[in-house]
Amino acid sequence: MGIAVVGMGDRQINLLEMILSGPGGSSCAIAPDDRAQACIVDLDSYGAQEELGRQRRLHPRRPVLLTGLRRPPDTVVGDDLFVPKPIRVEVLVSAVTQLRGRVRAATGRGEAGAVVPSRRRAPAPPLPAPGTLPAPAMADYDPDRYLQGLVTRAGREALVRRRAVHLEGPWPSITLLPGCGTAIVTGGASTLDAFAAQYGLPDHARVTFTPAPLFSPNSPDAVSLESLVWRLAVQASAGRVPVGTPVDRPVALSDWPNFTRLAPTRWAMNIAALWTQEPSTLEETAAGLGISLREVCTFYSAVRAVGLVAEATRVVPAGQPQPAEVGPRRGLLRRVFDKLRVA
Amino acid sequence: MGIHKIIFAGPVGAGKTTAIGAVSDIDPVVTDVRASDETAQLKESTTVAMDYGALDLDSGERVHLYGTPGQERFDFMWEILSEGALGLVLLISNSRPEPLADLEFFLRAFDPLIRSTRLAVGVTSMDLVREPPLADHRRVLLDAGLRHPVFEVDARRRQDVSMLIQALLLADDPRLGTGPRS
Repeated sequence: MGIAVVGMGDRQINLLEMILSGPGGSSCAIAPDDRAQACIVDLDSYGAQEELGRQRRLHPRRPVLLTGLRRPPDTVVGDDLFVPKPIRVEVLVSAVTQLRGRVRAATGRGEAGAVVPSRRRAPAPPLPAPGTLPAPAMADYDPDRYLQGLVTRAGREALVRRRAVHLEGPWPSITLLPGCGTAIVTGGASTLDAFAAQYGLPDHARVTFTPAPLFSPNSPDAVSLESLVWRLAVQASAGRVPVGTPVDRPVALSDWPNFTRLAPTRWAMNIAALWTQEPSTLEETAAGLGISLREVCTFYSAVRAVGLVAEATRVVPAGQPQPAEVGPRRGLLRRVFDKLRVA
Repeated sequence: MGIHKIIFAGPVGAGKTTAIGAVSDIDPVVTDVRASDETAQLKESTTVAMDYGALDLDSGERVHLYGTPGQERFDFMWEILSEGALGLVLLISNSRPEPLADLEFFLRAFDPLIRSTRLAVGVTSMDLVREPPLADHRRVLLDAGLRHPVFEVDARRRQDVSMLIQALLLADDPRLGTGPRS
């Protein structure tokens, strides 16, 4: 059985793996979220409540084991298992055994899924190779396992607390000033690209809320929070969609993105034009515009990250997007467009 | 071969003259004079007839870029210039006293052109004045039953103005620039 781990650092994960592979009898192992049948959440970690809520929404039938210094009455609900800290090995093993039993019962199988080989850190789901043709099935990724998720959660919480927030880790210093929709990244947002594409958050990442930010929104390294989140989403997505995306539903945009201030992605304006006019599924979009599905998925991830995806209601059956004008005038529009795009 | 043109409209000081100059393939023709009315409080000179620039296409065609004078007393020019246009680029300056009222005014003034062709809105001076945010400008459009591109624009930057025109064209045909040439 694969267990997703939420809110634990490298050291805790190491300990957990030793317990699962030793006293636990290797019947369970830590697995990436998209290959897990159960999950363990550390309630004392940053953003744990939000993450738990997300887990429940995405996987409503997935058994949950919670751990923490105390047992919050409103958090541990229903069939949730709870292991208090400090964790005693035999209590944890017993809880994991119960967890496994619940997965078996839920799946109706004698064995609760394949045992995932134990690793220090769950591997990232594979990235589709660049330049390949649209894949028959869309790959997904979990934004919360990337810098994108950390920045988004921290920004949301800072807004509620009315504080600035500093994010420290292996990346250049990040300060979010959500009140004015601004972020300050030392050296500029592009310095985060490599970190944004990395799966997994480091153990030593620190999130500090402060009423007195060290930076002014007029800093030369200031970018809009929207453009930062957009950029992180583009890097993390790499042609995939966020886990839980209803890929068979048409997508609509509530508004055009502010393209002049966002990192460009290929065909982004074409896709935006389509989704503001005619809601379409991701595959319909790729087919209708004659572009790669990967590009569509990347754009979808970015617009979703900045909150521009709207509830879609399709008025007419989807098909090829129909140009409003045909003939010479349309040819002229194309020539003007091509000139501007190249220039 | 008909006359192809794109109209740049907006209030005094929104950056129409600058925007046309940023993308034009020819030296823009500017009919500015020293401002003598209330415009003088906003800038030293202002457009009294129109601004003119052009995009020259490889096919030999020319797309004319016309900038309308911003003052209301020249509104008779707006209709004349708009006839047969491909679409409207509307520039609104956040540094003016009531940018949202400006937007409402120009949406009404150019309603026939907007309904029959295309619209893209560029909000200028946002580096100086963040309020109202783009969301508020978009809301004005939605209240008018319109959903068109609204971008933050620096009229001096060719890339910004170019993207605004590209969005203007795509709003009508999302397939432009993709697939085989027609």
